[in-house]
Amino acid sequence: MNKAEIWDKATSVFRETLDIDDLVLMPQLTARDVERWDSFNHILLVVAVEQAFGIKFDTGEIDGLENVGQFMDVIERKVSA
Amino acid sequence: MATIEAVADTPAPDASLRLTLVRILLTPLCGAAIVLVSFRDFLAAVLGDDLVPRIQLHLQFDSLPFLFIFLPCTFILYTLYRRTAVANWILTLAGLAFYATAGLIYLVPLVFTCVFDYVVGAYLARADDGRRRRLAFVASVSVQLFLLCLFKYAGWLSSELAGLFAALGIGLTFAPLVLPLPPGISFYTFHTISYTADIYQRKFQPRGRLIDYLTFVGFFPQLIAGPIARAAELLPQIAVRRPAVSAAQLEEALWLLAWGLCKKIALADNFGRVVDQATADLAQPHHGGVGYVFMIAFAGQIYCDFSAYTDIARGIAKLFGVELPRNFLTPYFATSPSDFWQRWHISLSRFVRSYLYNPIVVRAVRKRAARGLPVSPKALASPVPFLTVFAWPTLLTMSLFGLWHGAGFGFIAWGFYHGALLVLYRVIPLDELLQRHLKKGGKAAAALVMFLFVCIGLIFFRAARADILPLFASLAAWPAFSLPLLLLGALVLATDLVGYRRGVEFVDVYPSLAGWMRTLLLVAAFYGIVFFGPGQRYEFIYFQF
Repeated sequence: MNKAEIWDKATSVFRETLDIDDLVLMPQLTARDVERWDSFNHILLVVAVEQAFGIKFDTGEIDGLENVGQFMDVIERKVSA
Repeated sequence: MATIEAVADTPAPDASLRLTLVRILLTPLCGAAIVLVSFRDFLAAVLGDDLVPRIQLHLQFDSLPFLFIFLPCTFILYTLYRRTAVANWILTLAGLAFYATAGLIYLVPLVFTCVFDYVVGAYLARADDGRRRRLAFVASVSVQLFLLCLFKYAGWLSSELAGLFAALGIGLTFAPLVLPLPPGISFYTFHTISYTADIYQRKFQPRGRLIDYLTFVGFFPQLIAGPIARAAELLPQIAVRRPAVSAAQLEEALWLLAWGLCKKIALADNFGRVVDQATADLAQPHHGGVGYVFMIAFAGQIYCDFSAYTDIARGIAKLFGVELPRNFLTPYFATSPSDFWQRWHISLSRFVRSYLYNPIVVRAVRKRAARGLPVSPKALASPVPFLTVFAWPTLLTMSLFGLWHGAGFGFIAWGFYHGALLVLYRVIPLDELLQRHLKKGGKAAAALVMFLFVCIGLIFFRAARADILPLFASLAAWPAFSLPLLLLGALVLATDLVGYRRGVEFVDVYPSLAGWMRTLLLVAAFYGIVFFGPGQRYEFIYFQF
């Protein structure tokens, strides 16, 4: 899976989980910028991403994700591992 | 990961000679002054009361012995030895001396906690066996929490039980356990837990120097009331030789100190007087509406008091080249409970989220996903998953969050109430509804509603048990008027609005201002400290936790 495919797939997971159809993911986007991205929905996002990509986040990784860029870095690293 | 970064500022030979001479002259002077203010009472008992000047420090930042003796002397010593390995020793010893001003005996649990978790941390860093690592980590957290509970809750629990037995007529009588509460135990316990947790989660690798670790836990700006810095964030700053503080950093540190002191003395303590007056008014026959004054004044007091402490702590840390995390972000502009907890006592919310809430919820959601059930917000909105996956972990976490503040049903009720607010807003997102229907004023209305919810919660937090019902009953009347509250509230609102518009706290607006504005603010803070204190001093509220 290349980088563009990972971004496309992650975008649809984010849109579906946060229920925002026109959400555009950018590396510097943070939870503070998106009203529905609270700490509970953050966990739903992580688990939805885990399911979509067949990966698993470590406990420490979940709260260390400061923005979409870091989120995608973890996904890319785990998908290519 | 922490690494040593040698700072290339080795002094020239002449300067080196000067530095040695200055060290010979100032080290004994400053050292003696620190010992004197920290152990004055002890020295007086040994040498005689008349022989020792009457200047004893008692943990307080807003006291003359701290501001004019302890802090300058520690800063001078640190600056003289900044480039050497002694620098962190100075900070550690100063931290222990500062802490000992509450009583020498309190050093025992602090030092035990430090050494115990240091040893466990070293093992966790070395070991590879997953099961053994987990066991060591769980054992260390259990010991830390046991000590915390023993000192903080055992006395309260035993006296409540004794009362309950007496009320039920059970013949079992026992004397309630009375243990002294070590100051800041809730904060330093969380610091040491974050140390082992970060090593356990491989977020951070300890370098093995005990002194750096002791400096991290015993760093006196944050020792008593936070902010709760994560080991992975703070230790790397402490484990290096830090560069000299620049003129701009020094100015910013002084501003943080000045504004923090001004906020504490001129605002928080005056709000405190209004709270005391409202409590006294409650005993009068016609006290309708006084509950509004009580809760709004206390909202002002606790915010100004605690954020002032954080500003001062950040300012002092900056003098030693350390950046502490921010703890507040204009919290009363929050539009929802979830927004509020990202703006209020940020370091504790983050700690609780990372180490308690997230693990519980992640486990529950993953369990559901493993059974092939959907985990979208819509699927989790039906009653059973909503209760098990969202409501229960939220109420549990927030009740424990409340209990962390102190031994008492009021704190648990306050935490539970905030948990209930989070649940309520998940079911009925009042902020979204208000913003959708009111359009222009929607955000302000949502912030106002949230502020009132926060104020109501503070009744549980602050009021004596017997006052809670009368305070709630008084809310049925039209709000009572208080001119001091109006003036103080207007000041807080005005400064916070400036911060809110720029996405920071007011105190952090300072570096971006023009020179004349910065001077004006420093002068204003100075006048605030000198002329607007109420005369009656209140201890920092979070010192009791």
